[in-house]
Amino acid sequence: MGLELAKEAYIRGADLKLVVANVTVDIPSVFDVVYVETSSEMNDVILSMISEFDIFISTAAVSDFEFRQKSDKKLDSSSSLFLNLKPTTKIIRQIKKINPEIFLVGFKAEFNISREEIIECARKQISNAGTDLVVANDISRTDCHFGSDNNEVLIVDDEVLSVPLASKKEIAKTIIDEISKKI
Amino acid sequence: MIVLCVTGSVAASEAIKLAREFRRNDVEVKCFMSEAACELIHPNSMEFATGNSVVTELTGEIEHVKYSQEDLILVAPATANTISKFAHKIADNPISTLLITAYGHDTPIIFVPSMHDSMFKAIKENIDKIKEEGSATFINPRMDEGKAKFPSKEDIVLESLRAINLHKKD
Repeated sequence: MGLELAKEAYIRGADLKLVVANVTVDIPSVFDVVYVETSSEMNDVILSMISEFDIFISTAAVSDFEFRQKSDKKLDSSSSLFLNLKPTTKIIRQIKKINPEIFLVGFKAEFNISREEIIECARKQISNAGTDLVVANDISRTDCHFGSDNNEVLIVDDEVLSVPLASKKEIAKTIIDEISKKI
Repeated sequence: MIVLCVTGSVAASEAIKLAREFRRNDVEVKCFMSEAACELIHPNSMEFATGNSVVTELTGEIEHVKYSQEDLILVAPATANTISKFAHKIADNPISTLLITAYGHDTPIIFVPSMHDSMFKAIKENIDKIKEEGSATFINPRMDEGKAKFPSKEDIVLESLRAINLHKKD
């Protein structure tokens, strides 16, 4: 979904930068890309550049936890192992603190919940992170999981716009239309 | 609609798939082919790919005027010869004639240069002249295996659609 949004924004003339971690899609060479590996690296890169931009679209599904300790050696497999995880920094909540003027678009992927619950989750993100627009969907549906070609989303701010099942390219057009109307 | 001008580089065969990629993006394509391009691929291939008849010569229909104000003139592949003629506004074949007519109408023009590295170096002055006067833009080759290769279809389509939109906003 992120790549389709980038393509649509680029076609419409936006100057943009992509911060990319582990993706399954090929990134066209026309894009200005910063590659990162971990969520903390992504956090650092984004926060260092965010003051220069007008719009931030957060499509990355960033891991919620990271390892408390990392080993630089191979782990011994003769005994059982407990992994100690800590919550990662929520990148999206840092954005408006650094650049209050930015138009912030968040994504909210939920699993197997009702339309009302999805909208509630989206509104929660708006109040927590100051998001201007949230694109929310239910990834439990077989035709709109991560990595699929199609998607069906709700675009949530004060109002709720339902975008019925369509290609990610078509959805990207609708999302960019909504952003253009609101900035 | 865009006008796709195919000139005599071995990358001419890439123009067939490129035309299809534009049509997948709902863009109509009209093709002009140079004589040298017709030695490399048959106009029937481009007619099939675009769904439109191909212009290989200028007739009483004054094709160079008729298609000079479309959304974009894309020269892909663009030879050293075609680029250099445009740099000096020479019009001695259907494509070079279309190009200066389009330039006179302020229609956006994009070149996708495809030639041997040594030729590219030799015409650098002409490319710089075009860039300085802002009469056209260039999509650089894709570097792979140490060689300059024809850019991916996707990159060309993205740059083309962006150029059309930016031009409309001006």
